[in-house]
Amino acid sequence: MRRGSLALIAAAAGALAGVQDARAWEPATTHAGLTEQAALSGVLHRRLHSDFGIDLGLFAPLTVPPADAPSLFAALRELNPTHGYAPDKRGRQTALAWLAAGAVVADMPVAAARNHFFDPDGGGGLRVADDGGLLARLFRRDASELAAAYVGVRRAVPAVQWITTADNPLNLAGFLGQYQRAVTARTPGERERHIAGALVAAGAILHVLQDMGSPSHVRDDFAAHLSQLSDDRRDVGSRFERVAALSYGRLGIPAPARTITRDRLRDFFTSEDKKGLADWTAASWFSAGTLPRPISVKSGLGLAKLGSALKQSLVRPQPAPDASGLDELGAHSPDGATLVNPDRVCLARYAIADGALRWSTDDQCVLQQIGAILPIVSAYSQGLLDFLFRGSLELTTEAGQLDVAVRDVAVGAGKVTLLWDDEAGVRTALGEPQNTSGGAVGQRLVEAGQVPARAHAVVALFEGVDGSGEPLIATGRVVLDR
Amino acid sequence: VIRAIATAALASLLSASACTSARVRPAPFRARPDTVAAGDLRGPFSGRVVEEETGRPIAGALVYATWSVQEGYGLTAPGGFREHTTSTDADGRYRIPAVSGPDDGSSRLTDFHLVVYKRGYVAYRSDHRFSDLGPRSDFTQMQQEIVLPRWRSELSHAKHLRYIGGGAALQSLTAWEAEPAARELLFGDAAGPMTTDPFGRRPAPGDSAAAVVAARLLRPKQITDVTGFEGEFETGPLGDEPDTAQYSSFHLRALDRAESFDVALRLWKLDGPGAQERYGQLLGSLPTAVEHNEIADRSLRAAEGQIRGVAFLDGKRSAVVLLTCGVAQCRNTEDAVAIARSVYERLQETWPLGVSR
Repeated sequence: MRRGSLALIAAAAGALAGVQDARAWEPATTHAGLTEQAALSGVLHRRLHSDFGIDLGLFAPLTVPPADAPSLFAALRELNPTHGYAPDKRGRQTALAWLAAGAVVADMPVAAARNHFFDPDGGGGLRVADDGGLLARLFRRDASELAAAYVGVRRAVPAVQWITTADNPLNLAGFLGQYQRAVTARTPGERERHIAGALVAAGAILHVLQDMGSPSHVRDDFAAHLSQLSDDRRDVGSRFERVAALSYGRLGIPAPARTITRDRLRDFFTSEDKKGLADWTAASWFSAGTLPRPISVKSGLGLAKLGSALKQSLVRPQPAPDASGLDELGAHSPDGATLVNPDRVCLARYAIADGALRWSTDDQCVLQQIGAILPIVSAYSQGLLDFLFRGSLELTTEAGQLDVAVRDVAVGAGKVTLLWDDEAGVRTALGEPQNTSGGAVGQRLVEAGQVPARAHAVVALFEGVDGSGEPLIATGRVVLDR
Repeated sequence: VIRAIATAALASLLSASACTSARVRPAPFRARPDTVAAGDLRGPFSGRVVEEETGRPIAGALVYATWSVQEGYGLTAPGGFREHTTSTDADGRYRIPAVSGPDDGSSRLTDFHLVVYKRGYVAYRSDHRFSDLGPRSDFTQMQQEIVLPRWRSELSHAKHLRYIGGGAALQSLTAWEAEPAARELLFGDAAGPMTTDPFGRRPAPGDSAAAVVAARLLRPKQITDVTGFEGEFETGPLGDEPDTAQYSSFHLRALDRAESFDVALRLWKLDGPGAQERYGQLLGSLPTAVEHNEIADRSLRAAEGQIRGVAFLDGKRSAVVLLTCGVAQCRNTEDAVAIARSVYERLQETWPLGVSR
């Protein structure tokens, strides 16, 4: 294990005494940290710098007047400023902070968290089997809140739909709308607040994807979020996700493990090639409530029968332990034995006692899993953030002729709007939008006519789809040398 | 052993929780350095801030304390925060008064954070270390000695700003770090001024072209992001030709590793047909060179022995780039192509195309 495993385990195990969160990865720490890492490792800083003309990129202060977004600010006012994503009283904080704030407020109100589940096997969202057992667990903990939560679960939207559904105020359409206005709005102040708005929406979309790295979220395991975590009976939540928050915090979240690219937004979540984050997580890891069921071994099973029994004990087809790899001697020991994956990461503990083979996960096992999962989630987060900001245009002027070419990613059909800035940054449309059938990287998209003599800069905006038919906004900017 | 330690830690905190008001979580820190007794999340807090090198007190350091409040149970939500801002006295001492627990029955105090900042020093957080961002376990409620190392030029402002977090007073004091932090992310180098024109005006094309050298196009992170390499590099020019206005090189030598972990970059800036000719020479002379045209205007892949190569031509900039990467670093050609792509991105950023009219 990397990063001082003893300290991590001690910190995680110790602080569990105060666990009280029943949501996904903890927003204030894990989601915020994942989102910051995605931004610091990806293209966003360059996009802000080059395409939006924001020199300080992620570190540029952006102001959103609190009166413009009262509900957002009502949520942000509840956040502790020490984590870096609570704006000051004037509504100002850095671009990076707005992005992280979006990842944090995606769970506010908490009822929104029910829409952050997706089962890639069935394609559904969070379901709660009305088998009485879970209801009993829920209602024994009093609280109309929990009852309300249960009712809410019945209306849950699968995560892959939630990011585009109209009920989600921080959905893809909201992101694209803010992005578009961040380019077309007339004054620098208006554009600034729309950039912040786009970043908040992007952060919230990242949050939903990041939840796909939590096994209970992709294995339809709501019960894992009702674990009793301390001697306070009201203290229920996901032990797995709380261990992550306590051991890594916001700052200790690892950088992306690799570069993830996908052609479609949905593919980051799930895809036919099973390379979506939800696909990977669901097939690779058990959640607390989806471990294999106990197997009776009283009569002394042979390997073949054990294999068959093991297969029948699985709650989900994957991961599927190989009976021949089980350590029977170790399983009989007081500490039991450990099932590991090919990278030697703990999948579960197992032990034979009282005539049964039983499975469990302890904090050390969970911590190993989190150490393997977080870099992957970090990579998917960066991939998605880069995907959202993938569109870029290159503007050049030669001999008075303005050219707009495609940069970085091919564009499909859409329209191109040209605008110009005066010395004060006031932006005006330069003629009517022009339709385009698209173009490959480097290809000229449209030609512009004469640029007004007072123009200080020219901006181009593409609105349409990319080569895969996914919604795309691309922009580019050139400052005229006058 | 690990399991025993973890179990013991969990047990001790569980017992602490039983003795603590349900509206205040147990503190994850000790009361004082000389005791194992748990502290109190509510405070008060006290300590002294000193300089690492000399042990002298640091006066006038900003001390920012915050407490988080959480509401509800089962399904919970942030319920606000409390904060206290002060600064160290002439002897480097600070004192933070205690706060009371929440009055509302469904609210609870859940955590405490302390940040100390003084310009010229590495900041301090009570929850994480700056060096590796790992969890801090040496913070105590009272009599805490906080040691601030002097800021060093090789440290990252981007990392530092993220580490410090927010709060109005801190944001104001650390605003100056935004520019070097932004520059780091663009160029991998905090030194030198950013463009200060509020509209993003850039240097004239000729100036930016002259400023483009191979060392500005490739940083270790671009390599490690692709290959996952965890070692360090020593950097400098290659020994083949001296840098000129038309040519520059950059060698990233993997420390304590075989040459097959090394990466090198060569950049030619040649006017007129020179760039095309140079690219043609590479295509004709590099072993097993095959054009793939996947980067910039034209590009090729090549390989010889322990080295993989990717070259590309950027006709608009009259630039040719050759990346070579050892097979232990670039385990397949795709790795080398991915690094070369990132080099091309940096070339575009650091050498913007013509803006003349």
